[in-house]
Amino acid sequence: MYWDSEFAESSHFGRIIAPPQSLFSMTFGAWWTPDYLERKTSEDAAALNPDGAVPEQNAVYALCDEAGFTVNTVAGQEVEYVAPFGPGDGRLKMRSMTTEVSAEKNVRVGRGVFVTSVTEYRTEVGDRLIGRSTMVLLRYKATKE
Amino acid sequence: MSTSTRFTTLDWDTVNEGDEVTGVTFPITMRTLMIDVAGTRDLYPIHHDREFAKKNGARDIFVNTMFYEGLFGRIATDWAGPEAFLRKLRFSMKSPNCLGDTITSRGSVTRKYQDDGRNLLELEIHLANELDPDATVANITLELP
Repeated sequence: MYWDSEFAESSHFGRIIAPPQSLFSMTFGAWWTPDYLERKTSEDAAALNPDGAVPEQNAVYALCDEAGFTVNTVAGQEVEYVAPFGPGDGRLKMRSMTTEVSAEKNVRVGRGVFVTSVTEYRTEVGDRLIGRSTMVLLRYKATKE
Repeated sequence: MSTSTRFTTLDWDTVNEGDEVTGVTFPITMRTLMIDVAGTRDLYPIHHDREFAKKNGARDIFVNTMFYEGLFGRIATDWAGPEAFLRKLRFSMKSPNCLGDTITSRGSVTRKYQDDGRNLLELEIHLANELDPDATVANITLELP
């Protein structure tokens, strides 16, 4: 389904599709970009988002940093893959929104807050909704070493 | 990874609630983590810097969210066949799977139903390591043709 076009075309999908879970890895903001690509990446992002839809920094994370909750770990995730997608759909579009921030809590690894965000994924061609995800991220400060 | 890949898709009519989902077992080696980090471009230090991980309350460096997405999707479609489509994936990471651990999965079909003309199955998959029999627990909705 993912790499054999002859097989994929004879399947009920009718074409090669991407592994649905690749939505996250393909839209993941890399923690590191090689220097020679950094400028091109930011220029591309600016050209694709003329209305400035890409904020410099997530306000919630900035507040977490201020409180000393600087370490990230994903606590859980739920993704609904609404429709298959693959070659021919153009680029992937995503829009995320922070929907909930918990009160400060003591957790196994220290003290922190749980930040929930919801992301919607669409195709560039046809603007089809292909996925919705809810992610719960723990931002914490380690209390024991 | 000890798993068998099938090239024909399971017939929904022949699946029953309670059926076992074929498991996998494999060690998390430095190579596993290296491929995980490089393949997902996730250079957050908790996945490759042992000192950083331990200082922040983890036993050691551990596999990331995208690793679980890939693994759970693979367990589901290796069992059900290529024309199965992952409709929903929800999982919680109760404790991390770290360098040196061996992951073993176990799972079963928890529900079989039709919705909007779709043939659906719900699977529950647990990942165990030496310290935690339920380190990661996933609920999957799978659609069969």
